[in-house]
Amino acid sequence: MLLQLENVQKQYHDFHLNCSLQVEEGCITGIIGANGAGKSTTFKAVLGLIKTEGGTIRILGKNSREITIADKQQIGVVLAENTFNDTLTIEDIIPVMAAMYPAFRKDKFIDKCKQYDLPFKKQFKDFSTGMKAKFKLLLAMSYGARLLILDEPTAGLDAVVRNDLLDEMRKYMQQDGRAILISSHISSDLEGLCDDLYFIQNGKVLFHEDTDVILSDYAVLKVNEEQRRLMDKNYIIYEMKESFGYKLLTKEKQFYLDNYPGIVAEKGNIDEIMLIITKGEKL
Amino acid sequence: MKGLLIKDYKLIMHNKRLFLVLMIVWLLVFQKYNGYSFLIGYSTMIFVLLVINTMSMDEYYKSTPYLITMPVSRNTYVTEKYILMLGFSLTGAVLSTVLCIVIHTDLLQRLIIESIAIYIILALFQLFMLPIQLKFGGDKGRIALIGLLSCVTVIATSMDKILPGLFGIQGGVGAIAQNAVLWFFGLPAVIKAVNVTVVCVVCFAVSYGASLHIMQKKEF
Repeated sequence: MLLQLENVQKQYHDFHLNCSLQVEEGCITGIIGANGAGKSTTFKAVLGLIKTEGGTIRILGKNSREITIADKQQIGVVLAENTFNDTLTIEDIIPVMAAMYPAFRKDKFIDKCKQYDLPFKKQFKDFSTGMKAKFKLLLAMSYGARLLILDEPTAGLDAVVRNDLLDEMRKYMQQDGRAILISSHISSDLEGLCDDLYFIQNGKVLFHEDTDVILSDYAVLKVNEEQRRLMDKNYIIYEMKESFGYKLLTKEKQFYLDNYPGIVAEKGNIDEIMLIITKGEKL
Repeated sequence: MKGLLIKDYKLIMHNKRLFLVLMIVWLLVFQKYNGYSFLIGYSTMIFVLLVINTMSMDEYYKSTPYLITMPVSRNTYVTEKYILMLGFSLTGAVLSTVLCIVIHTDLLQRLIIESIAIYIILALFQLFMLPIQLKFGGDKGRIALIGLLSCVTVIATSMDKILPGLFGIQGGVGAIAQNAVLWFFGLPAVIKAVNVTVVCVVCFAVSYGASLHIMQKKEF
């Protein structure tokens, strides 16, 4: 286990985080949730940027309070905010990274920057959103960290750049012993990348499941009032009322297809599932 | 630590144009002006401001959280700022003093004494500024500093009125300060040096301790 959160608590004025999650070695774990759901707060808690008020965080097998400098060299980070000051350039930060991380692969980093057309002498403030996102991710992956913690690494990017970055993450995971914790608003990114997903809302994990299981076993049933009244609801997890009737989320798609011929059952789709979990009611 | 120092050095180097302009002003003033203590103070202050600027930029560009996630502790971040600021201002003081000495070799002893005095005053100013910068950041830090200095002024002005009435001390705070200065200059050189060292060490300990505390408590 590279990362484990157990009942991590943080109270802001009208927001309470109470989060438990795990990131296994060899896995990409995604966190998905609306704005203000608590994704960034969770990342900040993991990275020690905020003080938690309860619970435990274990990183690389250690309590987060016992993390050493050598341990931090095994963690790669992309924050939603900046990395370095915007007045610096890639050329400036190469010696900084070399001094900070003994495993920093300067040549490989330079090659990657060239591959993605990142200018070495241009100040970060003159980078486009796409260039900044590429740079931040390449930087986090430049020293072979075992654990990558990536907060919205693909936010604000077009589909082409997003695909490039997702490919980089997949390649990164080809080496054993690594793991990634990633958040994104774009569910399709996570759907194609993550091994498991956590849905978070109002600071709480509402739902955790393997992505394969979501895609194979989950379904959204669209039923009218009468169908809903007559059906067996033992396997319905959430329901959401809509103008035409109800959307029901189930993990037993096959049960309903076999027993209720003619029922509309749409394949598990992360956006739809998130919407039902967020707006609907748990049964 | 080394990485942070390199980062700040690179940041300072991006301000080299500003630095050059200020140095040209320095040279122009130097041609016309014989107050060497002002010139040494001015150039040392430029070095100080360049370092303070790195902290403001960390805050302005919101890069401090990322720096904290790197393999440096919060204490290391604070220590690096102290080393950079005191070291950089010392470099400024030494360079400007050497330049003044090269031009006026006859003033060697006077220039060295003035330079040390100026460096100590500016070092104390920096020790005062650093915790405020860490606590409030660039813009709010300036407001906090103005607020603090205003409070000191109000207190000193009030004391001017209160002291003569309550304790019969004539001349108020100004007189007390003047007497203290006269007393200090009347002391033997060794005692003076010991006093200054003790004040500097105490100020450093208080400032550094406060900065470490502020940084440990800070949330991003």
